Amino acid sequence: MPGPCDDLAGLLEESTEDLYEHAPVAYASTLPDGRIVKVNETLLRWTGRERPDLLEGARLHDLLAPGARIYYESHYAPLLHMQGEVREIAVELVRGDGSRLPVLMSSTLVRDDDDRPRLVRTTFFDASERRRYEQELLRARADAESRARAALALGHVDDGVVLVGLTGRIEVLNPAAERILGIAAEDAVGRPAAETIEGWDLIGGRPHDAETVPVLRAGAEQWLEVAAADAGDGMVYTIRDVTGQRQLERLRTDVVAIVSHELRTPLTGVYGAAATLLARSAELDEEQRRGMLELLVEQARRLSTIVDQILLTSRLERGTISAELGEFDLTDVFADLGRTAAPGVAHRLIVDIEPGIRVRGDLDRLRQVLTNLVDNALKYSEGPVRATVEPRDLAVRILISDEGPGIPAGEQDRIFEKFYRLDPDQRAGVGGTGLGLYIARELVERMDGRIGVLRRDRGATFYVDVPLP
Amino acid sequence: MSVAARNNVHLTGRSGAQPMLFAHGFGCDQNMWRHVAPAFEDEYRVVRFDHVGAGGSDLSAYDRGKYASLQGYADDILEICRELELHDVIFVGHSVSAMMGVLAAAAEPNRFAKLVLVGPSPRYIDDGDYSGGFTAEDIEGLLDSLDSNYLGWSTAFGPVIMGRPDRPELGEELTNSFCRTDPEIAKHFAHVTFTSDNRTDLGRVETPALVLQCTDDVIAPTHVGEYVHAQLRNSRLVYMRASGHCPNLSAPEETVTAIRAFL
Repeated sequence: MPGPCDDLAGLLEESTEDLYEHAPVAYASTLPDGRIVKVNETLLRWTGRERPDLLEGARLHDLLAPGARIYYESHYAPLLHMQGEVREIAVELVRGDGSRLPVLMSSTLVRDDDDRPRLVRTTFFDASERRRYEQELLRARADAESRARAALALGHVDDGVVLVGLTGRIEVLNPAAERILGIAAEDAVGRPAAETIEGWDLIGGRPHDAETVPVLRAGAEQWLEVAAADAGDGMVYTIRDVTGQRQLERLRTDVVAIVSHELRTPLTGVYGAAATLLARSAELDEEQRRGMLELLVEQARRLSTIVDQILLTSRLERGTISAELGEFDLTDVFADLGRTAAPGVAHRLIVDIEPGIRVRGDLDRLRQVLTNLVDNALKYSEGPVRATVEPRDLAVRILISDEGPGIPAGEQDRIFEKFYRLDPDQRAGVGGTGLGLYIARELVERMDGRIGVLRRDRGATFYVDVPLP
Repeated sequence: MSVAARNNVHLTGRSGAQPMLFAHGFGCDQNMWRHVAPAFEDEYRVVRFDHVGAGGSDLSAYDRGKYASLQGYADDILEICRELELHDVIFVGHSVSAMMGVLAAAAEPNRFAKLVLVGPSPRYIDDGDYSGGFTAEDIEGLLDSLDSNYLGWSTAFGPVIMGRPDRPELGEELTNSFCRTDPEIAKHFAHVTFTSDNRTDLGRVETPALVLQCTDDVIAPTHVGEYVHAQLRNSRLVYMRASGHCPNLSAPEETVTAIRAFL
């Protein structure tokens, strides 16, 4: 009576045979020349061939698709010969109905004691699923590569590009958009655009051609040109910062307004005085006539100053102005200052500077700068204007202080900009082209000096640092 | 860079003797001749090399324009001959290299004493009455196979070779170069090889030639070998018992004997 062990052995023997025949892997044993000598059921099933048909002279490459056959002969067989083993090469078997079955083929070459090739054991794994994955993977890779190229392009365009999904969340925000909108993509992507981008109520919305909208960003006005396009499952916004262009446009308008206003006032004075003198000369006494003539001179002087400033600005911009550097005594600069200042106010200038302080610069240009500062101070202040000096490292600081309304903290840097005026609407009744301080800064810088305004509780104090010789 | 370095030329055998120049075919590299070439080293100067793009050749010299036809490779063969001052050359070419030898001998007949053509085919794709054995779609299938085994070049072949402690002499050499090359180059070479048509070039050659025809060679079927023999003016056709496309590996003794008999 057979014991349990014999039973198991029989079972195992049977199952080994069964496993060989019906494993989910196809097996073939061939002679070194490729003739098939043994195959399993799985291979017969996959190829739709009969066993005798394969064992009577068929060769392994007969089972392969023609393209794979070349690959087998040119690569696989030589490698097997030289290496003794080849693993997982992707080829295609031809099925009974002519269709192809992608498989992974591996072979081992068995040699005899004299190292002569005797037998080749080959296995085929069904790789249809794997091939599908691979193809998907290849497609995905091509897709990813193309996306990466698109992202590269998007990263280098000058315009901001923002993609907002149907739920209103930001999906893409390119570097230009980061720069323009002042937010980092990593903080923005995935978040609702309305909560993330300032002024979104003006930017977002339905598809439209480019429109210019003003947005308040970090307290400053920013002008954005925004176009919106429907991308199917989201909206693509193209954003361009046109604040600079907008400012230029505004500047151009302002310049025309300021210059025409500034010219018109003295011109009216000149015209009025001249017309009066001409029409009513006989009626006027000597003092009145003199008053008219003084008015004429004063207004003509004002006109000439404005025209000079405009011409000088244009020359500064063209770079045709340079300083002639020399050495002189600071008191020389102030010698004529009282006289060039507007008549009737000269007595309010108090110059508290000892002779003997020598500096290096362009005497005429420095005088021009200080005249401008003193004129401004006298214009804005009812009280006295003081000119003093302080020693600095390698320079002398000239201070012009008044008791006027002073300069608001936020404007202290901007007052040196071209056409910048503290009182653009001229409500305070103090005119000016907005060029004086611009010219002053340009001239001082050409003398290697510095100009600025100090923070004061009361009044304004401008300084000019002039280098020591 | 010298031609010898570009084509990874290896010289063995008797110096000063008549040169035998062995050219490998589509697939691997000069290792294909490892069991055949040594048999001639006693008597001949043996020269082996890799085509540009294969084995240990200089891949940077691969120029798709130059190698857009087999003539580019034939020119390389002539350059090797000139640089090494090879004359009276016995050219032994396997597979597609057989036709490169034909082109080289047509260009410089005086350079070559004899041609040995192992598994030659002047055209692989059927054309009218001519049967090359393949259709254009079959060649697409080959290119797909090359694509599918793109990763195989380094992962499937490499580790196996590394794990051959019983044959350490194969180790380093094989891991570095054996049958491996840039997949893009392999595809281009495959395309150039299998779309080539050099049937008319056969008639331009008068150099004595040996055509070695294997049994059951799917790449170069018997009737193609017979066609080559018929078109060459001065050739001998030998049918080999060896089967497949690479008798230089599968039947080196028979191959050596056949070549020796011709020489």
